[in-house]
Amino acid sequence: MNQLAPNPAALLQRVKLDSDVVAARQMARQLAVELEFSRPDQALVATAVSELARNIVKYAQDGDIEICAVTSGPRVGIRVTARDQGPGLEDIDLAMQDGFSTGNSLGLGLPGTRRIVDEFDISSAPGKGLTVTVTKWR
Amino acid sequence: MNEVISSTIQSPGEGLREVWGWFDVSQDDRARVADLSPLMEQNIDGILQDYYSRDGGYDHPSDENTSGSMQEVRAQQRRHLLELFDAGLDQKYFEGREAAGIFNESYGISPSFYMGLYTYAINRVCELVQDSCEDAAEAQTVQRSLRKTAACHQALTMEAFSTARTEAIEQRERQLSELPTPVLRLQEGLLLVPVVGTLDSHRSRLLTIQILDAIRDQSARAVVLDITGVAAVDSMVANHLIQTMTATRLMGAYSVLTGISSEVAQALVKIGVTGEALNPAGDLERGVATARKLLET
Amino acid sequence: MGRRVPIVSQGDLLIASVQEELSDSDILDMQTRILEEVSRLSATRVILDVSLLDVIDSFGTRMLCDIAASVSLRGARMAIVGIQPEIAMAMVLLGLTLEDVPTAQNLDHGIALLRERA
Repeated sequence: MNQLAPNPAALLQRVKLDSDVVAARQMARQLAVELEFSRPDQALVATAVSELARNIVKYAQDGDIEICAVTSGPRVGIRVTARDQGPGLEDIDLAMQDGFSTGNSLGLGLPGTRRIVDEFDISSAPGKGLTVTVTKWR
Repeated sequence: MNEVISSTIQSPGEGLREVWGWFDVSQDDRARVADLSPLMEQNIDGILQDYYSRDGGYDHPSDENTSGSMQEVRAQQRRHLLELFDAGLDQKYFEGREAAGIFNESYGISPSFYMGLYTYAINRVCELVQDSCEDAAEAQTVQRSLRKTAACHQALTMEAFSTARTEAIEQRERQLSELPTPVLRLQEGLLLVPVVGTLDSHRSRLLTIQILDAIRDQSARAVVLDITGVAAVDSMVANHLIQTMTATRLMGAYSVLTGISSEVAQALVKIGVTGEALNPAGDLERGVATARKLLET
Repeated sequence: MGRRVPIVSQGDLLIASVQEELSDSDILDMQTRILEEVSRLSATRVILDVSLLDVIDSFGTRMLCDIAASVSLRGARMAIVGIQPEIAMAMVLLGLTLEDVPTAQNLDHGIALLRERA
């Protein structure tokens, strides 16, 4: 499930500056268009990547976003892996607590991201950085 | 039991051999049935003709729409009957049973009618065997082999029939649940959306994007969402509705919800959904009036 | 920067149109420029047209709210116009609701909306 090895066929975007966030989500949208995702799903993929990339800039300063097409039987999807070497998370469960009612102060934005993708996987340890892998099926 | 049979239907070979086992059909049985093949080919047309032309015995499917489709049905029934005498264990035989089941399902040939035809035909063949065999004991053995093999043959076909029927029902249900909801234009700037059926998260998303597209394309400023026809409203559905209405507002349109029955209202309160989030406006008439007022301001 | 978010004025009305995808610092710059223009022109109404934005995530939403709030502290009111269907859908699924900011489908509606509330 938690596939951490870099995929050679994947698109890779280093994420360090806030303009990299824009580049990463454009890359994701491009792939979603190529894979003929519906218009709303293209927006969801781009939004998820935007959230993940922003987390890297905000909390880790440096990391990368890997985007690749995946298939499972007849299904086609996009898998996004966000990796950083930042401070990591002390308490993953706390970070994943849903801030649905807190309106616009969403903290990490991870709970929201989980809601707009089909699969969500997170691994971290203090000082070890954070890896989030999400998959959206067409 | 059902599951076991289904799984054998999926993958013949080993599995099919197992089914023959259930019906106690041996290699010898199958050999004896295969030997009847020439006899069957000689007589099948007569048997079928007799079957179809008996008094009162045949009234389905109706003779009125004979011609094309009826001839097709008869040709297929003839072929399926002949395949019994191949009594093979191979993929082709198996596929033949599956095809027969699917054919029966799609042409509305009921299991009873199918069984009736087979029983009649098998009995006729047994008579022929009786007549052609000099040794009564041997005739009996052949007849027994034929009945066992035929029972198995029919079971496989019925199994496929039932699988095809289930699939057809599921397909229909799927189509029904994906039936697009009409987004109606009541007047300039005002949309009416009568939601009918079940509202799962997939359909709710489709519905939302449909409404949002309509708002954009028609520059609508008010939407009346009527849920009189929604089967059940639980907290999940309420949440979907709130999301739809929030998205509508982001697009710059007001929305009101109508058609909340008293049962639904009671249920919603019980699960903690209050009126505020849903912007309820009573019945459809009041909802439309409310929306019109919003347009005027 | 002006190229990315041209701001035009007409009487006491300011219209800022986002022309392309904005990075976070672009959005912060936009906030500063809008507030400067509100002061300079004594504008009372601001319309922010986001119809060309193709992603509005949690940061973007927070910034839109902040801009609206800071505009209102300057004594003007702001409406956001042109959120696209798929963006609205994504925002709602993320739990972003822009609760206190008036929204409209297009410029005309936005201008009418701000007039009504005057």
